[in-house]
Amino acid sequence: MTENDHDDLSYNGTAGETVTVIVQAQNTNQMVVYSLKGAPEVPWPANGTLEFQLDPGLNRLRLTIDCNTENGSHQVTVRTVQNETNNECVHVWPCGENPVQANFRFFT
Amino acid sequence: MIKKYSLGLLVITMVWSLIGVQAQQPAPPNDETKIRDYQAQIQLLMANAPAPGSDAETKYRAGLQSLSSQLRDLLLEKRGALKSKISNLQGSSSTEIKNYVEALRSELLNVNSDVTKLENAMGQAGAIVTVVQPQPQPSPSPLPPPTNAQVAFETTVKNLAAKDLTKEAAPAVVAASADPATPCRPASAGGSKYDRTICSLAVRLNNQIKPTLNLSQNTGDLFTIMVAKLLKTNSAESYVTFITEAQEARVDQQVGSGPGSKGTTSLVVKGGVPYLFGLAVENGAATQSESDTTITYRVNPGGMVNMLGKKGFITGYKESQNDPFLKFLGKTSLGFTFDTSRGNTPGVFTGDKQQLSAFSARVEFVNERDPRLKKYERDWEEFVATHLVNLGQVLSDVGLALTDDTTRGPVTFKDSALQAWKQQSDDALNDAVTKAGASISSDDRINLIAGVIRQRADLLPVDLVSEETKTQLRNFAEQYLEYTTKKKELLDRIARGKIFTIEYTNTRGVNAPDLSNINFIAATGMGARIDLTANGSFTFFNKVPGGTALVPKPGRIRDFQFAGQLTVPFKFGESQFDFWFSGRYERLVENASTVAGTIVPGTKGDIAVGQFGLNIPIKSLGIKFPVSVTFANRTELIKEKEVRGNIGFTFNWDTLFSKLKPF
Repeated sequence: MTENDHDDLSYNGTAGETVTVIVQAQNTNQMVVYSLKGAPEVPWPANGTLEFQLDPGLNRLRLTIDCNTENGSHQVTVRTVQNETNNECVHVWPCGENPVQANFRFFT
Repeated sequence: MIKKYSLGLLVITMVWSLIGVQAQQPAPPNDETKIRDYQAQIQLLMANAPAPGSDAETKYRAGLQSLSSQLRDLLLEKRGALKSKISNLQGSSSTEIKNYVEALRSELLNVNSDVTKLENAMGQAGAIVTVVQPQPQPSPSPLPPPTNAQVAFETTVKNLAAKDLTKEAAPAVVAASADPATPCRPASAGGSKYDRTICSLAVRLNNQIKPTLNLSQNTGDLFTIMVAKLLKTNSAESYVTFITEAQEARVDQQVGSGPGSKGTTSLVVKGGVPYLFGLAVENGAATQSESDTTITYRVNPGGMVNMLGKKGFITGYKESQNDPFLKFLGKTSLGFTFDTSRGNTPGVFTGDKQQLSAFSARVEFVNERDPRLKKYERDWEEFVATHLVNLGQVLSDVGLALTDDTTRGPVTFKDSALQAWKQQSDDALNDAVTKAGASISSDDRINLIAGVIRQRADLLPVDLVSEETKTQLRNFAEQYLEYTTKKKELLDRIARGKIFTIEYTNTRGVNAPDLSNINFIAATGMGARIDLTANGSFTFFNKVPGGTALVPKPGRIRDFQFAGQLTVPFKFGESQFDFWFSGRYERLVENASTVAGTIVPGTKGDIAVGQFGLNIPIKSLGIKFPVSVTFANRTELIKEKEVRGNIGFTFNWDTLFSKLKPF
């Protein structure tokens, strides 16, 4: 898989490829829910890691992220991204005034 | 053949120019050396290009492709290293580091652009040179041609984008925020959620490689701004200003001096300790006979260690939780109270030893007001599983309804007016950041971005936005309001958690005996965020004074005291005020002493004091003016009823520091 655009959270991969996404909460409880491929929202796995395989076409992974402190952050790591250092793409969202919805898009 | 060679030369020219640019940028020595090696090799290759159609041509092409691939890999590694550096350094308050981060950010933009150009050039070269395949890359399916509807949409947006949309915005008097535009840095944004949202979005855009309104990750902030503007101006519904969940909302922190001090405005000592540093200037006396001005500095040693180590609020707090010693220090505070009536120049604060009237040390043993405590984990899990799931669903639904994310390009608004507004806003952001240049500090850049967002928000084309868009935003606003209300309820419950602290105070008399006081402080909450604090303490002589003919030698214990306070926070406008009522009982076991050290006979007995007061804040700056009135049946020296007014000034550095240097 390759990163298409860092800020746009878009990637190019191949159907059947396994994607790993890791969420790490820092100085806040993990307050993350997600919707994968249009399924209803559910809380992010307690162990922080989600693995799934890409279907043909557009695969959406929407994460809604919030905090229970003012000064925390959530780090989201996407693996395996061949055109990034250590084959992983890292995004950090500091806690802000409003929740973040990160719309990751994986095209095959 | 000439055409093929032209393409080859194009690649070589681009590679050469990239190398020239990159060679001027700071890079790890090894990579720099490699870049120079590739530069030399490509130069050599170019100087010895074989004749077109010769046998050596294939090898020449392969070498060129190989060098290009390796250079691209180097650039990608450099891009990753730059991102990592920026992420690690961007919280620093040092001007030098800020400037360095801005230079890195500018460099990152160049590297990104260079990588794209190189990959495009290699793609063109690949049409004629296909010998070397550096890594198997997934080959995405080809982009479908734009549909008629997409072409029509892009034409509409293009026409609108070229138009002056300001004519379609709400009248300035309606659209503009009621709050004056406060800078996001160095102080926090103003009290309204709208202002905080502007700053929140500005900080997040500043973290992006390119500060544009990004519909893949900024919709939480962007929809909030749109709700504030679109529903405010065109609908009966108005957006609700949410109650601040900020540092100044804490009512458990004691910054000023305790009740034994001459200048204090409080009868009761509170349990919480500031993370870093507190300053209080107070005039009045709660229980003493003299009323002077005192200045109290309260320091958290752990926070100070972190600050001196240039660690931010979060980093410092986080690291202190992993280090037992720092964790202990983080739960302590030291207080130094200076009496300005003392010393060689009474009335002037000199801060010297003569004016030091009291020293205190406090340890926080129990504090159940941290939302991250294990005992609240289940509450947050349930909150996420219900309320955040609902909010996420609405955000997803509204996102899908309002935006188009089906193409490989950036996500766009479906509403052509909004998309045109977004494009103009992105241009305005780009222009502002470009004009400011790379030397601008991170704080100034955030303020700059916030200013542009604020201007652009006032220009949302209210009259052109579709009813469907407004309906979707209304759905989001309703769900978000419910979410915030539930979250606040949970945070309020946590803010009423128990606190238990022990404080030791050493009071230094000028001529009177020095005293030690040990105070047990407990606090809890009840009802709608009402804070209850109780104190129990006893005071003893550091050195028992001798007796006189009139007054026998006293015992070691001088007095014991009990006190209680009820604090009721309430909102007035955008600010949080605290009203308190407190009572204190003191049993003087021994006769009191004057400042001159004379023991006054017949002063043993009971002292009862009542007080009510109000903390008047300056929003978001951590500054409060406590004003109180005290009623007493007597003072320590005079057995007469007394009514006294007190006024003070307290400054809690935590509030400002958490905004100035969060990481």
